[in-house]
Amino acid sequence: MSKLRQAVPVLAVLGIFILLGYPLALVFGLPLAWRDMQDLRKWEKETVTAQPLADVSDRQTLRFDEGFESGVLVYQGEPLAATYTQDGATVMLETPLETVVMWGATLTPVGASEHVYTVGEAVDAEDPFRAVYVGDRLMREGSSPPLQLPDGQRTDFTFRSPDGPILVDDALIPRDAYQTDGANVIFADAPPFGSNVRRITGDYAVLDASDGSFYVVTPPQAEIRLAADVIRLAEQLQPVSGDPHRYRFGREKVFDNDRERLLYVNDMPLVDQNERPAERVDGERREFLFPSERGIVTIDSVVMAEGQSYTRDGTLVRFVDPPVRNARVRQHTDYYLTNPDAGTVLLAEPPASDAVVWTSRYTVYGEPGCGPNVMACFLALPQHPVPFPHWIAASAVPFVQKFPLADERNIVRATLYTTLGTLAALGLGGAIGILLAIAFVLFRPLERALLPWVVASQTVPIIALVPVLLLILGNFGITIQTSLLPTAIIGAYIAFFPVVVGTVKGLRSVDPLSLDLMKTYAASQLQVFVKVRFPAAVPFFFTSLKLGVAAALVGALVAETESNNRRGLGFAIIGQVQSGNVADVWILLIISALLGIGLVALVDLAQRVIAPWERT
Amino acid sequence: MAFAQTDHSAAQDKKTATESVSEPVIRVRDLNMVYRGQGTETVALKDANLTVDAGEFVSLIGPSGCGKTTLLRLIADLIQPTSGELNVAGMSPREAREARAYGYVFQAPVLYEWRTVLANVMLPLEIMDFSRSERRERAARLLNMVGLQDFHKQYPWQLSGGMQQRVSIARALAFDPGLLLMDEPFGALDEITRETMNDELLNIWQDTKKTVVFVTHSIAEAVFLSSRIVVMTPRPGKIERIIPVDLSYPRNQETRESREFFELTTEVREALRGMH
Amino acid sequence: MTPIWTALIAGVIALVGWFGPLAVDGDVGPTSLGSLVTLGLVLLALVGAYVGRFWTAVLLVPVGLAGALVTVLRLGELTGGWGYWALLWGFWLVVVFGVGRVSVSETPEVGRARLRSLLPSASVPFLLLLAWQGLVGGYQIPKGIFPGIDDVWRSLVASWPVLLRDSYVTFVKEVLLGFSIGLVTGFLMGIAVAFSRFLRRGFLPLAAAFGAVPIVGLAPVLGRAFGVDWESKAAVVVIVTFFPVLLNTVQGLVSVETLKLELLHAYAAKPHEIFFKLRLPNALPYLFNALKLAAVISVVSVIVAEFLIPGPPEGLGQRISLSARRGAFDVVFAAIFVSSAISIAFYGLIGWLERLTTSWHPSMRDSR
Repeated sequence: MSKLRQAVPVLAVLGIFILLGYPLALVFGLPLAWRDMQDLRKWEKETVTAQPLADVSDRQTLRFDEGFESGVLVYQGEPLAATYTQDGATVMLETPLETVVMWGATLTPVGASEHVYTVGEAVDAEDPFRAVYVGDRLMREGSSPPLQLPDGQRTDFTFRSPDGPILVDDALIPRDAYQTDGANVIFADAPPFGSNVRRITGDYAVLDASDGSFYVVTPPQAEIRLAADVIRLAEQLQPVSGDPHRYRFGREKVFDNDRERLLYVNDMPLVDQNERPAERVDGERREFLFPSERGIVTIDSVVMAEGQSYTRDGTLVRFVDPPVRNARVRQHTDYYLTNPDAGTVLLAEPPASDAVVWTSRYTVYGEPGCGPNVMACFLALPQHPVPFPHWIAASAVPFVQKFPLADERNIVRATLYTTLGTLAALGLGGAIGILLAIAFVLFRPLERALLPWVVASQTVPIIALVPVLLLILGNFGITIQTSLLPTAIIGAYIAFFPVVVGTVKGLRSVDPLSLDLMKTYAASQLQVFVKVRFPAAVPFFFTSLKLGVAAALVGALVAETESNNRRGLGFAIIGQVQSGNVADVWILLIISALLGIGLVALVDLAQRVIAPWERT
Repeated sequence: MAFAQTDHSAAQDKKTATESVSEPVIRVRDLNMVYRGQGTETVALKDANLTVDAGEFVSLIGPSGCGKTTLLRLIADLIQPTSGELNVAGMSPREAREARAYGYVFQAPVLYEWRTVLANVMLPLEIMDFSRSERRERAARLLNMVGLQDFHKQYPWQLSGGMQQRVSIARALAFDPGLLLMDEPFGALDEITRETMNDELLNIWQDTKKTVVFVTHSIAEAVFLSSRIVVMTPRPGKIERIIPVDLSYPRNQETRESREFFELTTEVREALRGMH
Repeated sequence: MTPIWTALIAGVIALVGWFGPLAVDGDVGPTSLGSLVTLGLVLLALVGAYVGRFWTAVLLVPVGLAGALVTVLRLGELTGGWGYWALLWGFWLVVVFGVGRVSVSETPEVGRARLRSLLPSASVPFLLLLAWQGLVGGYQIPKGIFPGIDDVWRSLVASWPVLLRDSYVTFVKEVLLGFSIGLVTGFLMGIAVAFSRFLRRGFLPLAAAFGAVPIVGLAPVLGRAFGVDWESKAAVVVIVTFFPVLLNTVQGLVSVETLKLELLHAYAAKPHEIFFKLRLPNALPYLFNALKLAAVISVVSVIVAEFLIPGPPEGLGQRISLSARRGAFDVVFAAIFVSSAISIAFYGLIGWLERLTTSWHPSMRDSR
């Protein structure tokens, strides 16, 4: 009962500390999540394409999936000459069109499956202009990857969409091979490292582009046809007021080196030919020859104004001031994306006032790769500095089972190896400590000479000596891979210190009257040591040994981090740190701490057995 | 108490026996002890002269700093005198110590906490290479004598202060030395326990016929126990007076309440006060 | 007086060595000024050992050290022969036995007593350094395997500005900052634990467990949490300072003698008066003990942290780690010396503060 009462506050404080893990995880994780969220390089990329017609049956009121702020109808690569009014995704034509679609191949079912169809020939897997119709209705293609990357171990993934079939490397995963509660999916078997995991979010997905096979989510009621071409709603670029050269995309954060971007002025495609000058930029040269006669000239991505910064004479560009040495001097033939973040583009030639500047395809950054909000990014962090405590608890079992007992990386074997190293270090350090202490007590001048330097020895950072020590021992053929000796020496270096200090104190702790008593017996020096000094020093010795065992453990762990023999907790810690598995590092920390406590308890037990006279 | 059966005549026999011994157990002649510190000199003992015969119970009494403990430690060769002559059992103190001529009882029990009561009593016997069976036999007998036979397996901290000091007396007697040097052995005990211990010590003394030199600062204790009382005075420490105690044996509670006892304590007290 | 026989024998060994070959191939070497100086020192040592008084024994120490130094420095190329070893170890032992004779002398005179207590510990580092250099020089160990003192000294001088900047990062940015934070938080937390029965019962049993968490594992985790720059290393120092300070503060505040407490109670002192007049002064010696411990382990731990959290290449630990990987052990040792010096100085600083603030404590009485 009283034991229980003692345990209550301890458990309560332990509970508080565990709970403290949650705010701490947020405190340390949220800034990292925020940073990840802001990192444009990790954002999802999204390609904006001219929308195909959603329903090809109506040839006057055209409906599309989503509209553009200002759309333009295009067919066969040029804006339609017809007059129409646009209202979002709906376009009303004044007069109905004769044809809105040109049909291509018809899809045939594969085998007995209701879901898999084939074109019969290879298709472009990434073709943004593909349009597939069931009867007259457009089918939407779509799939999205999970927030987490498959690492070969992870089985739980979070998807943006709450439902849909799941593909791994274009192979459909049977419904009984995973569990799902909406966005979260737990696989029975972890998807392989680097595999392409996605969830179908649209009506179909391309399974295998090489034989043109498609997966259709809902079994179709009508014929499936590919459109060779179809009326599309494309985006018209808006002029930036006051500058006839400058236009703006409908979306911001445009992908700056997008090879698929297609801009048109009426039916004329524009090319961003990135031309280099013929001459080297040496810091003195002003005149440079380019392949074409027109274009936007930039130095280190800064647009130069013609007439002010340079003058043009055909293909020759003459700068007023010579560009600095090794500056990037370029000419962009048709247009230049001046500000990707704002989505503004600069045209080399101002188009005619009635010309339509439009785009059939360009890529923008969609949303942060880790998720739509900072909490999602937090949950998707690949490495949490402080994981949620229940995550640590959850990874305990897989961590223990990760390596079989036959593998030297098995956690039980690693713990045993470290225990051995610690005990070896403690044995060596303890022996050195006792011998030094006896020498100090027997011969006081030796203590005066050496004790200050014994203290100073502990200011030497032991980890710095590890490489030196390994090199020296290596010369004698002793390596940390094969022998416990280096570990023992390194641990002993820090473990001997408390033993020396404690044992000297213990040997000196003898009450002077006890020594007088021995003198009245005319006892020899040896008898004084055996009968009085040693027993009196025993409690001090064990107290110092408890400090020493903790030190020896630190030494052993340090030595193991510098070794690559795959043994011991120190190696395991460094290994998990390097693979970024922080939850496992925390488990190893807890194991190490428990090992430390256990070894101290072991010393305590030895003390009870060897020195039973001490009152408790 | 268990050993209080020595009758009066036996004590008288003993007394005559001690008087007939020619060689005194302790002879102190013009003994001086000076402690030198940094630029200071303390005269702890000045020109001390004393003879203790075999079988005597001599108490050294005096206030702090009178040199009584110094004199005892000099006899035990725990310190060495500055000048003067000192003989113990016909030898120099050092020889006497090496011949294990005396047992010493300190102010504190000085028991080794890692040894049981029995092992503590056996300690001197181990050092003096007594056989294993002899050690056990002697230690058990002495524990019996001090009435601690039931406690031999205990560790010292499990005993009361009085019991601890009894163990220490048993230990001093373990190797049967002729001389017992006791340095305020009951100083830390309460008055009631102390009187009991005094009774027991007196019985042991009468039983074993040891010579005892006993340092104390209790007048009653000195009078009750001693055959002679050496009164010492401080600054410098010297022997002021030697008072013979001729109270009859056996001494007991009645003795403490007798007129003679009162007169003797008064005499000692006056001797102690007379020095100021 | 009586000759110091041991030192005399050591001197004779050196004398024999003077006639012996210095180099491995038996080359005795030219009779130069250096060799004459060596001979002079040998003879001086012999005379000193023979006379055997206190002051001649003291004299043996500089004579022996100088002799060993000249042996190591003068010979340069001429090392490894038995003459070299006899000279080196002869002089070395002359110092040892000279020190030994001085330290066992019983003299009440103040000047001599001070010398007796200082000389042994002062001569040890010289003996160690000479043995180091003598062995490295004698066996001609290449610098890449184990550097000599001369190599270490040269690289200490050459990389002084770098080491100074590293020390600034390691000590000022990482240790001092972390130490201060650990001290303040540990002290405040200690007060909280000491005055809360619940925390005292619940927290103290766990403190051992927290203390047992190894820095080796904690450092990389902190590196993730605080980034690889100096902040994470300062965090390591905070933790290694926090626990000793907390535990000792609690112990110091709690282990007040009941009688002293009852005295203040009898004066009807208010709780804050009890705290400031009794508990806090009582806790100071405990606190300083923790600080002295933390001073040493914080420097050692920060170097471990710099090893395990590779960040920008600055700081002594990083310097050691990078140099060791390149095989530049002379720089490694130079950096180790600097870090040790910092530890010792830091320890000394706290010891000085302790003497300033707790001069009344019993443990201070003997140190004078």
